[in-house]
Amino acid sequence: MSTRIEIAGLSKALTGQVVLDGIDLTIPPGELTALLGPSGSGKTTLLRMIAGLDRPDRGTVLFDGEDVLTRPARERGVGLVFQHYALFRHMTVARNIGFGLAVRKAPRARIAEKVQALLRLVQLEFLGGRYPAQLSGGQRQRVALARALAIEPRVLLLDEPFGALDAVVRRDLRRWLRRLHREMHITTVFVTHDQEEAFELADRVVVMNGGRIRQSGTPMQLYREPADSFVYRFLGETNEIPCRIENGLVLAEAGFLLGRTETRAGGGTVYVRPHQIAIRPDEAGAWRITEMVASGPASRIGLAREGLILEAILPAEQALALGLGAEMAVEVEITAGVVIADAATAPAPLAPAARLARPHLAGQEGTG
Amino acid sequence: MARDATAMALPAVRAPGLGTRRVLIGLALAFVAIFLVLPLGVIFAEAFSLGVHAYLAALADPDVQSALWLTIGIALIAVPLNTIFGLAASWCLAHFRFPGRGALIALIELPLSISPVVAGLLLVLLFGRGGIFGAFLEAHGIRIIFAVPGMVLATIFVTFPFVARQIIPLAEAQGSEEEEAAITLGASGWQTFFRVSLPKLRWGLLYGILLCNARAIGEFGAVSVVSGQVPGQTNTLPLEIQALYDGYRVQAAFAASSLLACLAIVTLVLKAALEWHHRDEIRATRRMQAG
Repeated sequence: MSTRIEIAGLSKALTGQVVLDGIDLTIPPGELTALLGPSGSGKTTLLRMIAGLDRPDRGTVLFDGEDVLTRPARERGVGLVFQHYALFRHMTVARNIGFGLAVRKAPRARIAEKVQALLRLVQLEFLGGRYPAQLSGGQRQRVALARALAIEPRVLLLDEPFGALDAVVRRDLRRWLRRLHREMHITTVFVTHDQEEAFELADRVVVMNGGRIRQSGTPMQLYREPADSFVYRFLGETNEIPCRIENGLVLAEAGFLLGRTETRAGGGTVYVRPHQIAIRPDEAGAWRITEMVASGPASRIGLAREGLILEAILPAEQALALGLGAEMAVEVEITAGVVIADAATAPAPLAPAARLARPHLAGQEGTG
Repeated sequence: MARDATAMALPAVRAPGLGTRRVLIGLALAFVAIFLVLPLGVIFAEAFSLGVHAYLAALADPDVQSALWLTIGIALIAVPLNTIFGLAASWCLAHFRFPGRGALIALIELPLSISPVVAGLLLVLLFGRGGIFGAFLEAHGIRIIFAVPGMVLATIFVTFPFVARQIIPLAEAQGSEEEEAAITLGASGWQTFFRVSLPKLRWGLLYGILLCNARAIGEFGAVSVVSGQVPGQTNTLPLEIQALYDGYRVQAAFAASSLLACLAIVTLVLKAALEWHHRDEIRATRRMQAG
């Protein structure tokens, strides 16, 4: 019963501004897919086009091979949950949920039965008589979901489903939605700008920017093998280090070694996540700790060497055990990361400099 | 006493003392009594000053009867037309951005800033004997000025903004998301309009219609210019009252006035009854708009 969505060459320009630029995307039946991107990346427009609320200039959208672009939104059988829920404020919760059935002229008894079942599903059994204004944000969200599910949609679409909720409710709802999806197995697409949300919830994440798909894959694939610098930057905090590559050795602008890579030569940029930096106290170390901020379970550590500034994150316990503190001299090793050479767009992995590079490091830089 | 941060941040509002409260309430009540209750009382007192028989006789006068039905008839044409226009205008202004949108909003308000007498004269200049369309209308035997059609037009012109002004800001504030939700849930255009757009505007719409109706019934200036004031034919209630008063028939004038007052009271009671009936929903909806 799950529906496969196939999108090809979807493009849209509004007053000369390109909103979507040749989107090709296939969403397998029953999969939970996240459209992830900054605001203005076109993700919401793409969602609205699948729903039928916006029209593309070019391209196709197929549900199970059937062209749905020629069909108006009301005939597509799409359940859409709006960012601000868009609940009918003048209707009770029960009438909100039953709306899709009522406009189809379903018999009253069947509507009542279905509404009751959905209220149970979203755990709001006793709130059917309330008005949306009398509910909390999380409850409204679940009513919106129940209303969308009432029409037994072929596809479920959610626009920033947790955007307007506070952190705790957001986390609970996320888990609950994940469970719900596993049980119902309905093809689901949701839009988010929060990479953590996308990674936790989705089977597959589609990263968008500037109206194009930058990369699509499982959360693990994206995190391990980002297609380009945008994806890398967007998927988490990152240090960007301008570098040059000589014989597979990656050197900082000041000349010291950062790591190894496959690329032979040329300029480039190293991308390193804050947690991919190892720190060891060493009185003769070339690095200096500029600042240390303990924020809950992690310590953020500023590191400087010859004009280069990095930010590292260590578990607070580890930072404590190592006795790290501001103004301390330390040795630093980049344990992982990627290099994007100027000549290429695809990133290559950065291997640690350790062992192999040690003699070289001493030889090239003298005292360090 | 422990106070949390939000309480500290707000400016301290001290509850007024009992004395202050009594003075303020007294002032408000006195004001209402002098400017609203007293005049209303005077109308009925004067209307019944010669007894119930004289009152009923004044109302039974064919000219007053004709004026009453003409007034109601004009309102029955003008108010629905302005309601439909107001809904259409609010719909297109709330859901679409187009060139000339600002000008349209300004134009809708125009009748409010034009004196009703001038509005009446405008119609005379357009449709009167020497007016722009005068020759054409005369050739086809159509009478607008000094006849009922002119009075309807004048009333429509004067009451034009009332419904639109009430619901345009409301429709703009509410946006189109609920309509979009209705469409994705399978509602047709008409279903969306009648089940979502109209109900979510209905209280604003009701106030707009009440205001529009009150003004349509009470309109004097514009209508008097175009009516010709033929008793029994082109006199509305306000015009008839004026004519009676000018003819020194004070009691009859007040009897006719009491009809207008009754119309006003009936609409207010209807509105209150409707609000009472839907009190839960109104309360809930208001909270949503505030939050």
